[in-house]
Amino acid sequence: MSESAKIQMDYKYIARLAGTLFAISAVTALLLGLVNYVTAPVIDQIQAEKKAAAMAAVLPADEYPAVADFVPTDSVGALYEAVSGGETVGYVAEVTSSGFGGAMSITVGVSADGAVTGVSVTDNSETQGVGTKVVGDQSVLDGFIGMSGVITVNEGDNAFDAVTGATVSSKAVTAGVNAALEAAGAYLQ
Amino acid sequence: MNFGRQLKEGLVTQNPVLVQLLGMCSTMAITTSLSNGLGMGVSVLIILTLSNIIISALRKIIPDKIRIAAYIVVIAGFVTMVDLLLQAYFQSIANSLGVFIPLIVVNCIILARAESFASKNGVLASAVDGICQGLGYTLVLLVMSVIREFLGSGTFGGGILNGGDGIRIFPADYGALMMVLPVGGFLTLGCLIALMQWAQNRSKEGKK
Repeated sequence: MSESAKIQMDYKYIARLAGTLFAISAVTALLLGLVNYVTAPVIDQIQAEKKAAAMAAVLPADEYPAVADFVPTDSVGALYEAVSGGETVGYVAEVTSSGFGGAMSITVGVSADGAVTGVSVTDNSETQGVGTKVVGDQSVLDGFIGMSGVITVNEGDNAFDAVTGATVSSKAVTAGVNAALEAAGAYLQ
Repeated sequence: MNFGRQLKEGLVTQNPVLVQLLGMCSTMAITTSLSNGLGMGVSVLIILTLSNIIISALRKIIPDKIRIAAYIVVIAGFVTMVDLLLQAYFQSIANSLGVFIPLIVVNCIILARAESFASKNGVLASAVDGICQGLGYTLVLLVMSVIREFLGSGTFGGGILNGGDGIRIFPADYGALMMVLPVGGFLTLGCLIALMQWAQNRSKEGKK
């Protein structure tokens, strides 16, 4: 057996390797736990505020109880009933859609007669200056207001005009709105 | 230890991006507005300095055979901490940088400096090295952001100045869209590297 192979079989050395790596990992994990403990409530609160602001923006109502028997799908993550003065005024859906830069989260309001009341993109990774012409411009997103049924992009009678150069982002938002309309539609009839 | 020399190396002669050609991916991906460039640059600067300090302090304890694994644990730990802190206290930066913050773990600048500098030098020198290399990286990001944002969107200081919209220099319709797309990143970076080589060669010839 050569000299270097003997060193590799040295249990003390192996224990030292494992021990050092374990110690470094343990200290790191401890510190991460500490940072997470401090930041988790703040992050949760920011997310909750964003969610509440998005729901109020797309369909103002007194409260938003979750629809009890709704089963989340790949695209529609959550569905809320919008209740104002004891009456259902519509539904708010939280959908995810796949854009140019990855997944985007969209909150869509649907009125009691099945029309879009508002669209808000809460999270996206679209290209700055291109996709953001759609997802970052509320006046473009407001173009969905009043639309219903299955919305197409550019072609057809019930079409949303895609922003030039940002067709993929436009299609992604449209797909999200369609998913929301479909999910809410099941409860409107 | 010579702070002036290390600073000059970090910013110019050994600039991590333009001379060592490290961290290309993040450089091209995020430099579309000034706030992105600044946020990424400062994040890397902080993580690089902290991980350099820790790795330098532990350099005699960490056995040679597992050093890379140990470095990665240290770096990943700091990146996750910065990621969580950004999400909690700097929401807008966390939103626009998105996935590129976690990806700092594999940013080769940090591992390269850990391996080539912090593992061989003292804590103070490593801290200074982290700051200088981080400044060099940030400087390149800022220059790239300003060029690409100006040519692509026609603004200056997007995300920071003028309520986040940036100061408009010419109407948005005249912006060259491709400059904010990846191809613009390659073009800008290529031109900057060429400029750097030219300047360095010229100063070498001047000395002869």
